[in-house]
Amino acid sequence: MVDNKKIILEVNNLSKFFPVKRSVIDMITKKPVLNVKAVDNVSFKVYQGENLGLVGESGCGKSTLARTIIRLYEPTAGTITFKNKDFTTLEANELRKSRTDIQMIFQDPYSSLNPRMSVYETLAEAIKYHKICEKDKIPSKVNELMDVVGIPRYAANRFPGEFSGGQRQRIGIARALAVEPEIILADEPVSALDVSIQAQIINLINELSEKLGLTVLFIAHDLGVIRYITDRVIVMYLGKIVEIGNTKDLFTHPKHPYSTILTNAAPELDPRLRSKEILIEGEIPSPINVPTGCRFHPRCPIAFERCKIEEPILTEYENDRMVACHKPY
Amino acid sequence: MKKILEINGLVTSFILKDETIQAVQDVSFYVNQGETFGLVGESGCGKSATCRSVLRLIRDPGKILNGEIIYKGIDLLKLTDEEMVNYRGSEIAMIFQEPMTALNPVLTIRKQIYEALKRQKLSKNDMEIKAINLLKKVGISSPEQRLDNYPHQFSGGMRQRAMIAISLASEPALLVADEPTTALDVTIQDQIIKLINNLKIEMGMSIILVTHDLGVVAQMCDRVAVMYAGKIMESADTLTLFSTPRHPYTIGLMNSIPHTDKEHGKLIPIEGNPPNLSNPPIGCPFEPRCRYSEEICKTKEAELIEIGEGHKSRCHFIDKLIDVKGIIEK
Repeated sequence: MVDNKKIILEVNNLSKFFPVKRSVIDMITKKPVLNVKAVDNVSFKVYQGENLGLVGESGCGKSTLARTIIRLYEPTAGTITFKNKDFTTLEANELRKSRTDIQMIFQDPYSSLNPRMSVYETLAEAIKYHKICEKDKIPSKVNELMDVVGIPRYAANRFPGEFSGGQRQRIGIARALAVEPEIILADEPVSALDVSIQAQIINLINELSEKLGLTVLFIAHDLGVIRYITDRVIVMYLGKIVEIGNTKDLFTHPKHPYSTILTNAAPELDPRLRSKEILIEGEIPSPINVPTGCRFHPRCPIAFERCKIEEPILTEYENDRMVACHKPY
Repeated sequence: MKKILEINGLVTSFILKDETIQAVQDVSFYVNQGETFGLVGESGCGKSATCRSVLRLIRDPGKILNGEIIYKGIDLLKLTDEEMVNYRGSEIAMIFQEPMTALNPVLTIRKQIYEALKRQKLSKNDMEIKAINLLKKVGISSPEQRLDNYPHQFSGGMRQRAMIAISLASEPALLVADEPTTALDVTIQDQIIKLINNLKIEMGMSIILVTHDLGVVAQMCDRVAVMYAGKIMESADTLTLFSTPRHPYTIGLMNSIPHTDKEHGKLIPIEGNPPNLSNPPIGCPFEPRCRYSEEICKTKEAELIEIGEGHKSRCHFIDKLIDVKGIIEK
């Protein structure tokens, strides 16, 4: 856990909208441009050395948020500050240098590695490009990385296709670590893996973050994984943060009705605890026409008049908890 | 209890040019009338190949090489292709993991339900009433309008509901569900689990549920078989399996699931990877990853033997596991 809370990354009022494609007829009839509000006015802080979870269902904007933070997407509005440096306004060549600060691990180790590059080439390329060490030290650096993630050294000349899913994810992790980043953004790093392999990778990420003092932003839809691996957690719904808190507190006493439902929705592992009651009706509305007021109100079990009109603000409560709800539990 | 389906010694292989993948190796189990039987395991363990074999949906280069699949006293493997048509879809229906690939994208939901109703020779009016009732039953709101939608106009959860409606159209006695909730978000998964559970009781169906998720097993299954490398490793009623697992693989699976915080339950992964099924080990297929293995496991595979009432395990060293606690207490 974090003792001296040093902010390493700060996201302020960040938004990312994607315009909806318009037909010629739409343009002639001057229909207004519609936007998918994937991330809408989101602010939070990341502390040095913590494991911060980002959780929500598909379409809540968690992946877009991660990709906007490392500027794979250009933000529509807002700022991202990394160690007092404004990440949002960096020019291309400065941005390239700053890529060594934040690295990403992707969900699908099959599509995120170049199939025509061996493990050695994949890792050496990153080291060379970012000039991490002297040229003659590259082989030993690659070996070191392979040891760290548990890929045997004799496999250095093999290609991604020759590895299993779990091993590929290890290579993906080594690739991210190659440039010695301070922050790792892990976007659903274990959801494509079988449980027995998933547990190996979760433990690996856990060990690495402790050993190397990494800050990890861990994105997942699996609440079991989030509960296990993170110190703090952010819950998102339809492009907005609904709750932030210490993982333990949030899972035992969720304050936002959506967090409550989400933490209860994962199927209970005890066959005696079966209920017939459906937790929540309906599905996530379209992010193009977001509901007025609180975005969760059409599905919320405790919504009242005010929720339909007025959007709740993310407000601070005790124990570093923040909740965006007019009537938190 | 009456058995609706009994599988004996099923062997299904995929015969490729230079190798044969033994996907299902001598699998036997039965499903009682009105119960949900789970087949659980990780990718490549043969759970999907087993349930597709039941419907004889194994395509080239796959072949069912041996065994019996006895449905209501008739061996489905002995039927001609024409005779099998009378069972597939009407007596035994199937729902798939990815509704977008299972539904026909160029036909409206109406047409797809009508197709499933064709055998019942109803009048047009009756068909429409029945189709609307089916959509209502699976929880699709304003079914009258939704009937003329195409699958792409439905969300993921609604497509899965539509697929369930189509599979129920013929009132099957046995429903084979292959990872029905895996592609869905947790809140939608919760809705679909409860929907299938309720429909089972309402319609008196039996279900074979294929899943990799032990949580889904706990919420849906009466009895369950754990598969690994094409074989059943352990089978029991769900409560027994979760409270007193008696196979190292089942125990390993349970220790791999993150379900609480770090301090309360450290994850203990199963090291290594599953074996290659074109060249399976001679002994126990789990031996290379097993923490209890001894010399004998490398050369001789254990039989699947009864170790308690309705509880079977395939392990030489069940004695070593006697004190192992499951994921819940009985």
